[in-house]
Amino acid sequence: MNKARYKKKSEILMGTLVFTIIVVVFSIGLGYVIIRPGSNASLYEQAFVKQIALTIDNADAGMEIEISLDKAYGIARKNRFYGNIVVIDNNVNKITVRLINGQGYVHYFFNDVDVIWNLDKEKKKLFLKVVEVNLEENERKNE
Amino acid sequence: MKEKMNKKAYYSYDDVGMFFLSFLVIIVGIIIGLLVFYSQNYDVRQEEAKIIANKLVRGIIDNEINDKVLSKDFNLFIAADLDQKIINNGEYFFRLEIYEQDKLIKTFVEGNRDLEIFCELKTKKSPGCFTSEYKYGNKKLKVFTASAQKGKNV
Repeated sequence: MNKARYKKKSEILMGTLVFTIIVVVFSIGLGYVIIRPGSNASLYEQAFVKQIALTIDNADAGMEIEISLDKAYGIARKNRFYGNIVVIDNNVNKITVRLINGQGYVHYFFNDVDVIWNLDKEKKKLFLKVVEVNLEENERKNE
Repeated sequence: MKEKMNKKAYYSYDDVGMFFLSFLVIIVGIIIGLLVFYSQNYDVRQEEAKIIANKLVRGIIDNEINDKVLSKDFNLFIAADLDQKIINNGEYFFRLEIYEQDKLIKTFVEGNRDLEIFCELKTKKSPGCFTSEYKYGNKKLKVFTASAQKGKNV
């Protein structure tokens, strides 16, 4: 009689325990999914990369451009990202903005120029110098 | 008696189904919220199409629409400072027509021609499109450009 009651109680306890574990795992998973986009980092990455791409597309060779990245650095620090938040690859005209670890947003510029870029982490500014691509380089790229 | 009934209900897990159902409703709500959030997009395709059109027209007018422009050897990409590889990557299109007294004398067409059709369809997925006309002496330039570049997460 006692054995049967003990068995029944342990079944209830096991059931409750499994149920509690499921609820905790679900809650942690949902919390993670909700909190990550809550930082808005991916939206800001998209906004900054497109702003930089349009600036380069509109520029002529010889121009020097200064872009303030106060807000971008603020978001990156909040997300504990301390790497280069902007990377420009002149070989494939690719701009990458990264404000959070392991993520980033990519956009391409179509202006046929080279961009000499410098990211000043202290002033929180991006300096761009737009220069002409030489003809040999141009022909090589268009092959 | 009442106590006994409650106990029985607890032991039989009558509310488990309801609990999971409410959990499901919450999850579906959160997924819809996330989809709405992630579908937000800064759309600069129209701006890109305008910039391409301006660069093309500048490239032609800087050469004063002379014989060089009308020759077969004329490289519009170099004249307009456009990267040929990027324009031909499938996300851009342009059509530039030069008219002399309403007679078409030269046409430049480059990029993904599907975009021209998608622009006419005017659906939500249509690319950013731009059309304009310019007069230069007795000549007229008709420009149509399209951009479908949305950028991507890496």
